[in-house]
Amino acid sequence: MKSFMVIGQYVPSRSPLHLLDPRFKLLFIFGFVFIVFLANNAASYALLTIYSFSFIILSRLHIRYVLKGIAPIWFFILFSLLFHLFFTKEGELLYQLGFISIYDGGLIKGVTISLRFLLLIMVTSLLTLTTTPMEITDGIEALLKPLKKWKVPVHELALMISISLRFIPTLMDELEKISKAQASRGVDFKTGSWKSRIYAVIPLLVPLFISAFKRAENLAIAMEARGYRGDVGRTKLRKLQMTKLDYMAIFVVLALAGLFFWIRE
Amino acid sequence: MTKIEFRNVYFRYHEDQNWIIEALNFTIEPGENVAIIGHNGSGKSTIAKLMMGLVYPQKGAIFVDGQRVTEDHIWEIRQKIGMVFQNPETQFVGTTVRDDVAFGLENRGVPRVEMVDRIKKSLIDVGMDDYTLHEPHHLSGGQKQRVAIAGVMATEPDIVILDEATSMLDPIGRQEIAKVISRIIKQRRMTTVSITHDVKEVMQADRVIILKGGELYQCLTPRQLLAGEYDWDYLGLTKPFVLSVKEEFEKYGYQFEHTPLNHEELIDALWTYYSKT
Repeated sequence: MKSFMVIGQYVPSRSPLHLLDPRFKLLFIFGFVFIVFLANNAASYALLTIYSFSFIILSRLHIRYVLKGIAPIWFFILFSLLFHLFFTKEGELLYQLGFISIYDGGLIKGVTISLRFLLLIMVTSLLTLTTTPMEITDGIEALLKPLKKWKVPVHELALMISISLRFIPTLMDELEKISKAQASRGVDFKTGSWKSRIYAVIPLLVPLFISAFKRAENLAIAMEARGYRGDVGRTKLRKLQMTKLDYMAIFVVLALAGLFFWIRE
Repeated sequence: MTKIEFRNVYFRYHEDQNWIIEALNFTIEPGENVAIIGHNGSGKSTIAKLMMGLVYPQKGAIFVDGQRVTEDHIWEIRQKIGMVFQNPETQFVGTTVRDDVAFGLENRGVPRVEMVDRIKKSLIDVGMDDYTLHEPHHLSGGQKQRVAIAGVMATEPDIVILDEATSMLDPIGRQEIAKVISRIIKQRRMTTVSITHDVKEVMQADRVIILKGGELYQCLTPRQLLAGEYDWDYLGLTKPFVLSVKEEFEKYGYQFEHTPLNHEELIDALWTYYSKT
């Protein structure tokens, strides 16, 4: 169960991508999302693909590991490819077999859309693979700081995110335990109709929710006992600091973006 | 000045409930190591919560360092007390070992430079300095508990409350944690309150407070506890092996001068007895 939950799973390393400032990485992802949708010819798509794969190489993670990590998304990527392949009727007819007809417009659309999707997911999952959840939270907190003026509870928000992230693996373990416990009592998750399988999830969710609430309560007590009182008089251990590497990265990214805009039509 | 004082304390969670804590009076002196025992539901854990101001008594007063535990002083009081809970999982706040140890320091507004120093020192103290950047779900229960202890020790409290801190660990983990705790406590001369079911921890205490239905049943030294006739199951403890051996010997007419507290004392008592006869 855990193996394909790579999204949100940090892989420790000291690659250049790991060492970058999370604020920069977050802004970069934000920009990348727009850039991906601005690609409009084969060359620009090729360029983005090259970029993405070189990011993976820079992260020193195995490409296979990253691709495996986005396994749950493959379905959507394939789905959008096939959907456009069969249902978009633009351009020239390429192939016909009975009621199935494939047009070149559909082929192009399918490929580009699923490629966009793939690149987006790949690069965003790189963020979570190379950045600790805590760094991401710090990054978000730092980027949202200006909103404090309008009484947005930025610190609380950041803490909430970081605690949820910290408890994801814990709750996954819990879920596995509960599902084994229920399976040992005869609940069948793997066979039967869709309806009965959905019903089988209920005895999983109820205990999971109960234990999550209990955990939350105990955690709140522990936090209070450790002197937590919100944002009041708090110092921070983790300090974000831009390094030479970050400035270099900004320069490189701007150059890459420039190249992209030059190539696209 | 006494460190902790309970003055005629009454407490219950809901109005329609019976008192969980009833007319409780006791004091704990600075530097003392006090064990609180009692069967389940005797209000042991509630005492810890009362000391920290996590809940407030309906009647009576609690004083820590001469200061009454009220909502106005709660932050000053919590600064002085560190608490290790039973469940290693639910007290781990940070996403890594280092962040978790930092949590208490951040809350107290300790400057960053000092924080880094203290975190390192306390992690070395509990033997977790190789795990600084590890995430909680990659740690065993014992390791998490060590981190929790480091988190408490880093804040340099005067008083440490151990709320069944070793009860969820396996026997080896329990022994190791107990060793770590008692070493650090001795080093730093902290006042310790351990709420426990573990006989070994009880034997290490200076004084034992026995609770019964939220009331103070008895307050004595470990030796007096062993010498007295108590229903050990009722106290929520397993009868110490040393005591069982002693009782078996007494069945055969042997007389002990002192009640042995631990294995060494039992062995001493036996060989002196043997050489005398």
